[in-house]
Amino acid sequence: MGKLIVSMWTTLDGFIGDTEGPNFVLDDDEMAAYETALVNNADTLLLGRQTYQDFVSYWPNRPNDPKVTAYEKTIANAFNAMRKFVVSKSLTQATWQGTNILKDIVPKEIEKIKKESDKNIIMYGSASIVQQLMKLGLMDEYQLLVHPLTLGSGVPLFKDRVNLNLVKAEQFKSGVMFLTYQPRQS
Amino acid sequence: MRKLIVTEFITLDGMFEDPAPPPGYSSPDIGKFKHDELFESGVLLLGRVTYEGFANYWPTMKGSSDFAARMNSLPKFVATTTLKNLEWNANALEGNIVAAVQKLKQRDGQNILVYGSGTLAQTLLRHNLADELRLLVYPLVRGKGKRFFTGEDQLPLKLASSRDMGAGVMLLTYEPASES
Repeated sequence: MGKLIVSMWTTLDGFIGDTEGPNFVLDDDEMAAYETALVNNADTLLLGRQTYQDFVSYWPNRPNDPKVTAYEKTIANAFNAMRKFVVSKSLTQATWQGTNILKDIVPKEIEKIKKESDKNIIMYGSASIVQQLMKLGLMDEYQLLVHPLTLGSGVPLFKDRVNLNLVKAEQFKSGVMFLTYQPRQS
Repeated sequence: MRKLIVTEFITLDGMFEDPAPPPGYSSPDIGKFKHDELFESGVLLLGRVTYEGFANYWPTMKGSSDFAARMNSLPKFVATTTLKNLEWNANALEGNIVAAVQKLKQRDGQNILVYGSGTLAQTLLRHNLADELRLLVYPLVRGKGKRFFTGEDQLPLKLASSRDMGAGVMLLTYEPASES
């Protein structure tokens, strides 16, 4: 049984980027270690259409790039080997190996995916899908990498009221806070 | 030269001024932190809205705790161009806010403490007048409400420290990203 985890880079004020898209520049060894551990503990990717399309244009051929870093190669190999689900009404085919299309979010299907997974199911970005899953009580964990930056406006990760529990907090040398939350059962 | 500290309660999605957090989100560490913070401060600096709320509330708490006694007795400065007759041991900051705060900081003494005061806090942060921004981040998402960070430009900050306060609340302390 895998946990459904969303991993997000956010600003201190809860945005995942501005209208131009994410614009975080910080990166460090601790972030790389985090990202590597995250994919190593997962066997499934669940993505919205936009994130899927961003990923599919980047990751599948990444391991073949002569200039690829060892870190990126690890991430790319992990992604390529994972089972993948993309939520989209409009996509008719998904070319990335191991990808299945979900026309809608059906709670039973998500629960089935969780049951079938030995490791975790990771989501990146895809805020609107996260929000729907959150409303349905299907999100198990939020892993936020809170960057020391505010935007004031932009694309918010969260749109609905929710009470959470803090599971883990870690401060990275770069000033990023790695905060793990789970829904609070009330 | 004394330090100016902006201290806030915010949710994970950056909202403040929400009514008190629901039961189960308080901890002894938060209480001690808020107590020490107040007693390490020698003056309060407030925006008009926060001043009006506090000046209505705290005098009614007279005699309830040493915290309330100190809230009431400390001198206050208020950033306002409209209020004329201030009570509650408060004076209006005169003239340009940035210049007035710079002057206030030059005096020696205990910290200058800013509670709430969203608009004023933004001005202080954007003019590098806040030496510390202390955020008690509650594990709550509100979706709607008043945002603490409202500036249109990005505001880079430097994370100085972090502390788990219990009950899921994180204390994150930030400093200006660049000294000017």
